[in-house]
Amino acid sequence: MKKQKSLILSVSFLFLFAATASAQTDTAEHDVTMQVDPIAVLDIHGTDITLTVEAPAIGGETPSNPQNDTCWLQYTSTVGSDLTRSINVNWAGDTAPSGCILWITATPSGNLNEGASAGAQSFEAVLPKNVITGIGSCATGIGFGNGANLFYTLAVDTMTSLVAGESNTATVTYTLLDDS
Amino acid sequence: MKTITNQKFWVLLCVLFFAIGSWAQIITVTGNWIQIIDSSNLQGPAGSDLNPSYESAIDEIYIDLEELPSDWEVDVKKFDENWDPNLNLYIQKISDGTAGTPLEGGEGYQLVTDSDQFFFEPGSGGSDLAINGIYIQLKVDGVSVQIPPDIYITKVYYTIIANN
Repeated sequence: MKKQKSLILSVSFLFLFAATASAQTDTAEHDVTMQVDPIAVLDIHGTDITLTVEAPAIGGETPSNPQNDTCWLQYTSTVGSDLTRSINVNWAGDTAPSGCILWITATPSGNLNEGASAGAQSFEAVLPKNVITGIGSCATGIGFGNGANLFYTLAVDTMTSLVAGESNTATVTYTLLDDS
Repeated sequence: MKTITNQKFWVLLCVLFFAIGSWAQIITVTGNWIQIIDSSNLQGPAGSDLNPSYESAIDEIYIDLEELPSDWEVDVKKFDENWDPNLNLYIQKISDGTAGTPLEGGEGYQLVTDSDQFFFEPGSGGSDLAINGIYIQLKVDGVSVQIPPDIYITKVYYTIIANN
């Protein structure tokens, strides 16, 4: 009997020692989920512009092509690693004054993922047309001087078609969209 | 003379096991944090970057502790299921719940890493047997447009350790 009691006591102390000597633990957990959605927003920094064909300084010369570069296209884009976006331009059914063609060039600043210019695009052919391609995840910045500079030229194409006093208003729309 | 039979011996051992098992402290955590980041989180108009930092609500996640020993601590770590390396996760304790004396640690944000780090422990007044409603708050920073669109998930583990 003494042997049995002694054995039980020994085992008891062993368990007690084990229970207290080892740091007992319990664990609980929860999730943290950050869902980053695709973002495609753009805006134009600048105001409405007016391009006026004026009389040349010297009689007999062709009027110069009025130009404007005061507007900036600014955009924020987030895309997956294998996707790019483009910005296209459209002109909702309006026309340039007779004898003129409107040209637009968008020139990104060259910062990472802000895309590249697609060159000068005229508004006489099929629209919409891309003005910037290869846009990745980027934020161009806001305010004057940030983003892609918009360079408009109203080119006198057919001198004989010009109509004095003719004035047209065109609404130009830019769209940032996924490349298919 | 009475003798302890083999059967009684094993019954005693089982009781002892049960007793030891019943001492084990228990930690439970309630709540999750889901943060959706979209164009509404831009710092300004188009062309601006995303807000870099986000916090969970102060009443979103809480911890309950039961069957506490006299001395213990809670450690915290994370395990990334799908996580961008630019994202940093921080944690702080918002309240001490029903603790009789203020808990020590967890004041102010601390970085949560992939290995256990001390979070909080009982104050100098000693520990209660149970503490409920210890609210915690989480923060993530490092968000920018350079984080590709995706669903990022990390698990935050809270471990209570008896310091005997």
